[in-house]
Amino acid sequence: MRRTTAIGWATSIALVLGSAAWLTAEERGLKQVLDDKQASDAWIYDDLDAGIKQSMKSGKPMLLSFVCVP
Amino acid sequence: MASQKDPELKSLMDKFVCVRIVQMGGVDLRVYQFDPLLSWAVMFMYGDTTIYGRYGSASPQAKRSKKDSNPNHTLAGLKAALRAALALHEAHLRNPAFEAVLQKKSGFALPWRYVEETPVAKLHRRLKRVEGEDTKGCVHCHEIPQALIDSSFMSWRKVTDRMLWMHPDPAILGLSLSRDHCARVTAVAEGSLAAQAGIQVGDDLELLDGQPLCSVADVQWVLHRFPDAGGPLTAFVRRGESHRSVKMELEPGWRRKGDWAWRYRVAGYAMWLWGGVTLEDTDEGVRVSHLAPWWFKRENKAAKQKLKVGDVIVEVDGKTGWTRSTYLAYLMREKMPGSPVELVVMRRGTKTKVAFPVPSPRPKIMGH
Repeated sequence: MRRTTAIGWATSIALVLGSAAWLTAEERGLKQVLDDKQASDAWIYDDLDAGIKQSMKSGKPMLLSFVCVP
Repeated sequence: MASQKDPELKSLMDKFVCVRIVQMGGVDLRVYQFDPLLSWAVMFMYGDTTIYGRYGSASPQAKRSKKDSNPNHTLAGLKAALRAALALHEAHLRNPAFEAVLQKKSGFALPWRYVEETPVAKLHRRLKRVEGEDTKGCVHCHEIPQALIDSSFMSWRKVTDRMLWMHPDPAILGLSLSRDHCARVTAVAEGSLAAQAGIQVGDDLELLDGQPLCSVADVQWVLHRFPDAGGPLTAFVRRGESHRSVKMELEPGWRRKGDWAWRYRVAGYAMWLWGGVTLEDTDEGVRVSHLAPWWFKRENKAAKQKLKVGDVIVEVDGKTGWTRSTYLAYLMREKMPGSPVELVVMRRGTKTKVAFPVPSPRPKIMGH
């Protein structure tokens, strides 16, 4: 019983850590691989849908900056 | 970032939801329309897809340098555009009927919604949205017009004047505009449409074709959207405390008086595709200023043997009055691959006949 619980905890922790690592790569992958040094953390990065949702929620207009990362 | 150093700019930008878009894959081309041949362009819009304006423009007059990548962009101009966009946003939220005023700010119909749907994308798997760490194939903004032109060829659709003479410079109306204001006139060319309409230096264009203006890019958008067939273009102008409405009559084919060949991304592509020849406009005709040896060696030996640097094209298939833009557009739209083009060129003061076949178009997206 004790062994089963330990395996359960270990699996849960591995899943949490694994999903966190995956999320980080997904979220930061494009910015990192492009080495986009000009990108601000305060801005939504390459996600129009997120911008639209936040605009409607906040009532603010969007400033969409289309850039070519060299 | 400039906004961190400039409190006024930061205060203005804090009123926006700021989004940085670095790829055009997965972007709805029917909604997000702007001058794509820039390294940086801005759209102001609300989450309900109401568009307030655009910022960022290029022109043949803008000289690029390492210090100043685009002199058309100024901090004062950006702030003016931000203020104007905020005013339009407030008006839109206050009065839903105001949406009608902004209607022409929206993009127009395109045969394809996403670049991934274009026929050319089926040939080039790179033309897709990239996710996560798979960033080898970002679709760049400047690749969009190339993809649309190529796909039009491939699907037997017409390559329109608008596709080539895109986002025309206000100079086509005879106007020079301040880069520090929304749309303030700094010069009016003698005898131009603007001069005939009575527009003067110092005037502020407030509405053009019924559209409120945030920037020079908005003026270019109005011209971009205006029909190829021409017609009356109205402007609502503020001069000091007074206002007046003026009208400029654009002729059919009005765009062709402008130049698109300076847009090197498209022009370079067209030249690669149709001749490998670098051209420049002169008073005498279209001068061949460079022949790409690699291209001729592989693709068009006949032209290499017949054209010389310094030749001035004065006649194409029996017609005169060409510019490099109209010449390239003619080759792109009217000629089938392999069909002959007959030129008369001035070579060392003598008229010389030159004929060579138009090479086969092989759509290829030029990226980095």
